[in-house]
Amino acid sequence: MQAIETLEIRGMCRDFGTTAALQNFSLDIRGGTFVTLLGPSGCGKSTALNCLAGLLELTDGEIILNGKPIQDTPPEKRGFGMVFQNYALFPHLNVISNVSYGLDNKPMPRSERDLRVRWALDLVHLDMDEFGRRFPGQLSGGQQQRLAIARTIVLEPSLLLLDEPLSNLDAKLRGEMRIEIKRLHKELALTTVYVTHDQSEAMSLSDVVVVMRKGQIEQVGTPQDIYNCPRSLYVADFMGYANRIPVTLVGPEGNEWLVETETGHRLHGISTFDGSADWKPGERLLACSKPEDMQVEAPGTANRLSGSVHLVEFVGQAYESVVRLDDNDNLQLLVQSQNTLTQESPVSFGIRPGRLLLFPYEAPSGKRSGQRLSAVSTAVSA
Amino acid sequence: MATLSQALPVTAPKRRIAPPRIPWEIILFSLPALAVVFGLFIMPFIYGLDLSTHTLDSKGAIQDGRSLDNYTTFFNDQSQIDTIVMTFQVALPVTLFNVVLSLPLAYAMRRGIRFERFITALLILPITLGTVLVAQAMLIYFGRQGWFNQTLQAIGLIHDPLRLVHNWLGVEIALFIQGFPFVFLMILGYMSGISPDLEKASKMLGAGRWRTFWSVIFPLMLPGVAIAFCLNFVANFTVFPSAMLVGEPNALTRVMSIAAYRAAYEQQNTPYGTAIALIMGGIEFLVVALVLYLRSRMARSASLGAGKGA
Repeated sequence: MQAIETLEIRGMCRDFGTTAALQNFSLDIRGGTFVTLLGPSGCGKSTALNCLAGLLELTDGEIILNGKPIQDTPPEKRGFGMVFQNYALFPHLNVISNVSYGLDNKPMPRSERDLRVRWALDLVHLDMDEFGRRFPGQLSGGQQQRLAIARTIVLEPSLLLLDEPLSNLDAKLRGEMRIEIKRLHKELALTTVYVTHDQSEAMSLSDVVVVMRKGQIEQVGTPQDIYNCPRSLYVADFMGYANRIPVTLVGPEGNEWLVETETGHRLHGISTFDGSADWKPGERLLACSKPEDMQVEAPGTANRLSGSVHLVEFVGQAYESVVRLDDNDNLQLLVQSQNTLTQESPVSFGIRPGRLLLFPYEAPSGKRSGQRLSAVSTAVSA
Repeated sequence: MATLSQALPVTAPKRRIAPPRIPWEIILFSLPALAVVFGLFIMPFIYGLDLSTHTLDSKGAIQDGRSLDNYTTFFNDQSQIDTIVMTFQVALPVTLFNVVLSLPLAYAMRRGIRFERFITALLILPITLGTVLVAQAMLIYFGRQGWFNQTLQAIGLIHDPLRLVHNWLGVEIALFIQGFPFVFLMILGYMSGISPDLEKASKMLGAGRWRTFWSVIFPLMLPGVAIAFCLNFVANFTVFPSAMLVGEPNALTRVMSIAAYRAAYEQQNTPYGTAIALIMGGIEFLVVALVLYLRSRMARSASLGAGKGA
């Protein structure tokens, strides 16, 4: 199969009826990279994958593979491979027949076909002698997943598409299969596009992460980029910046911005937001940070806030507490500490320098961070 | 038992297995249903089986002694053997036609189409009308002076009216109208139960439409097709009103049910009629058994679900 040097996606659009599921999706993929499309359900990531595969026709736009447009090539002629969320194994064919299904579409001697089947099953660590004659219904979830991957990579596709392949597995197996996928990508140097709603999967697997929102690309970057420098509140939210403090801009100070909370505390923040050059003093902003960047044990007196402990949860590497800020009962933040805190006791915590990100103010939607907090409360009360 | 318990590892915890409880409530709840099955199916069946072993004396009274005379008479009578052939000639083509037509149609409609409810309602209508009404309507519509022939003559497609009723074709049309919706809806139900991802997966593995249909869709459809075929075949094999009303009951559509009816109610030989009916049932049973055997040979594993993956 012709290897990918460049895969350019230009203004890819897909409508379903009157709703635009995918709008102006443009992305350059270099051969051998692992690209992840990340976003919540309904953000268009699966639509984008299906358009790439050829299973959905484009409403507009182009897909250019090594300089040749392929958007009108039917899926069976593109030479791409796809692993489906529910694996889509053929239930009436045994493991060997499932793997050789794609090979049967190409003329090749039987001996070579058998060799390739064995190679693919070896690659995913599925013992052909033990499982070869079994049917998909007789395999465990993890084995079905391995079979689904083997069936696809046996064809040595130029592009491997994975549609939330781990979402049907339990937590332990998901971790194992994640490593397997990473290993396969390294061994075969397969250009891969991976769809997921799980940010930790995206972080650990990808070379490039594409965060999507409502059918459009919100941000493209390396995992480190996306994680440390989210360029919008939406991406920050998705990356676990669960704490949001409404603030007013006082003005720039060195490389940072000085902001003031509703209770008059002054904090230093930075901005990764594109439009921050236009900000003027008095502007309403949201200061966001991750719980792990709000530490009780943080040294110094700058960038500190105080409140009272509401709930405490042990999260493994630390304790995470819901803290209600002094003089502002409505504002709850997740704060980490190395030692457990007493409920209802006063606490002061520092925000790590450079880890308080500023974004234009948006009214709380009560979605993600709210969910997180209520999840903590239920966990504690239960 | 003693050896078995000795063979168990010593560390195995001794668990006393409670004797299986008799599920009285299940037995009691199923009693009414069992009574109905017994009274309406098993009893008449045994009665018929017994009746078919008796013969009539010269005055037409049922004799006491049992024998297989009715069966030997049937199989020694060439006209009755012809009846079996004729019944197959009536039942088999229309059953095959129904199934073969349903498959591609259901395949095309598997993801739903416009006006699907309307089409489904239209299909169910002939089932609700009943055979006699359909036959009557056919006589009027397809008759020599019927609208169908008049229209074709008017637009000059034909010169002489086509013979569409009172022959083999008439019965086939009637059975098609009655049976097709049933077969189609059954196959459609089965078809829409196949995950669309399987088709996508097949395409992604490089298979075109044709291979996808024959390698994936059809094997997974086989159980449904076999059942639809069997049910429709049995219904067509026992055809009676249509064969009488729109067929040629004295010639080419003298099917077994007509033969049984004539023996029992025209010649007043109930035991012989019963024997014919039982032979008819036996043939149906053989055909169903054959179809199901073929099905299991063709796709032994098709019924194995996709398990957790599905």
